[in-house]
Amino acid sequence: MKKKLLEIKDLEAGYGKLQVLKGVNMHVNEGEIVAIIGPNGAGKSTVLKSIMSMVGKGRGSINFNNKNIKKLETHEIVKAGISMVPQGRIVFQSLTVEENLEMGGYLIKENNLIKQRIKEMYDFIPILRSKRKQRASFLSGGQQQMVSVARSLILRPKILLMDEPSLGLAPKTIQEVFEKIREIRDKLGITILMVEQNAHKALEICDRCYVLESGNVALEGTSKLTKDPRVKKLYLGGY
Amino acid sequence: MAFSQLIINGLIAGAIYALIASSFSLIFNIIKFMDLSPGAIFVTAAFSAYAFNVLFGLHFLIALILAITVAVALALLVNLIVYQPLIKRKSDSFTLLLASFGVFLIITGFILLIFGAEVRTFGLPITKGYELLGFIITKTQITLIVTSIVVFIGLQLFMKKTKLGKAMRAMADNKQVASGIGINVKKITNITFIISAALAAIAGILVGLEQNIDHNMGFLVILKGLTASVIGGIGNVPAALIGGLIIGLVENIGIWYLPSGYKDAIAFVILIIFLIFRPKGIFGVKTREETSG
Repeated sequence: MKKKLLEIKDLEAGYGKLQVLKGVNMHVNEGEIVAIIGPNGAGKSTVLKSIMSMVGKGRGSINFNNKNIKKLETHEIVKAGISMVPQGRIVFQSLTVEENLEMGGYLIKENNLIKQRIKEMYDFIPILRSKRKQRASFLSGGQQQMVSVARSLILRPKILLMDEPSLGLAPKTIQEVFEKIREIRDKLGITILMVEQNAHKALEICDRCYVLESGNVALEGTSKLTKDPRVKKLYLGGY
Repeated sequence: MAFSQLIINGLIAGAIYALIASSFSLIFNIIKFMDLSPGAIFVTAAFSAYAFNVLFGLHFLIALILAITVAVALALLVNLIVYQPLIKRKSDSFTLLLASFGVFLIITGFILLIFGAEVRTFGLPITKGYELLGFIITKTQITLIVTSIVVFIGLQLFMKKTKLGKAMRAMADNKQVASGIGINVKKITNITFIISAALAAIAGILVGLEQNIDHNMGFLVILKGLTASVIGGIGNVPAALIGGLIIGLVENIGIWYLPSGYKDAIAFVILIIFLIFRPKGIFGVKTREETSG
């Protein structure tokens, strides 16, 4: 049996008095790409934010590597081996591309290791090398997303959370981003949990998938979910 | 008085405004609210240095270090008991601004209580200034300018080159993403308050050396410091420096043409002009997000 890297049990979470997640159960095995799809407002991003301790949490547990991480603060969770690519390709605008990557290595003590990891990232995403001295705000949307992805990989997390990686990108760029996501798992060996609006694309590359509906897991399955009439009707109709 | 003297006076005043402006700017930029308490930290540092040096008879350098320590400790205390609880309750920046004004009044009121309304001085011997190129400059004034330059270069290097400085800039850009890459935002918040307080404290002690110390000295400093940071483009160190120098120079050169009673008014006329025509300040650059919509 595969090792469960991340396991969420009966999780409740929300913003102040507004409860978004109403008892979510899901898990991610080591080496998997798992996608969370579902309509707007279902609480997809909230799942990721609650793992990162960026929202208030109620009942339930979040286990990572057999350790309950629910009570940890964000920076401690990062230290434990979870990184997140935030929604909306957010780079540090006033920092250069290289400084953005350096910040990705904030938790690494040895400067040489940070430098080496940055070099590895330039090999992994070559476009960033030619832009390294530029301010991140001057890059195109797709390139900013690559900076954001690379930044979150500097720490070599055990699992990478990605919040709508394709949001607001051009179709051609979306293709590139999804190819990179697969490479992150295949070449770097990093497990991935992603939230995606673009259900069709997400189902193409994921091993398993959860369909979230108004704060609950409505469906769980493999990428064969594409053929499920309910999913087809609800989320794939438009594509 | 020679015109060159006005330039020198302007630079001296400007250096002080710039220190205060960067003290405000750091907090505004990184913690995202307009904190007026550096005005009180400024007064506290001046009085502490006075107390340690004149009343307790400690060597000036020791008094200086102790005064900065007191100022920094006070800023951390204010953050801990006033700002953090408010931030935790997700208070908006206006609430924090009002709270900081309260903090300013409480601290300066407390100083009035202890030291009274009497004007104090460090009692430095009055020395004859050096005469250069038609202007006179005293040893204290040279110290003031040199100290400011050293502090500014140090601050700029810190922000640009060190890991902590970069983490501060990253947090200024986006707090949530900064915490998402492992930056301890509470720690960076405290460091920001420490540096901001140290800047205000240095400014307060320098003003104390150059002029007088009284419990009211923080008020104009808040207004001028804020004006300087608005003119420069609030939120970055070089901008605060330029803003401070502009205010210092314009108000001192202004009294060449206007009655000296208008000196303080000049700064505010500039403030209003900037707020109307260039609210983002001289260095306010549009980012890609804003230009592309």
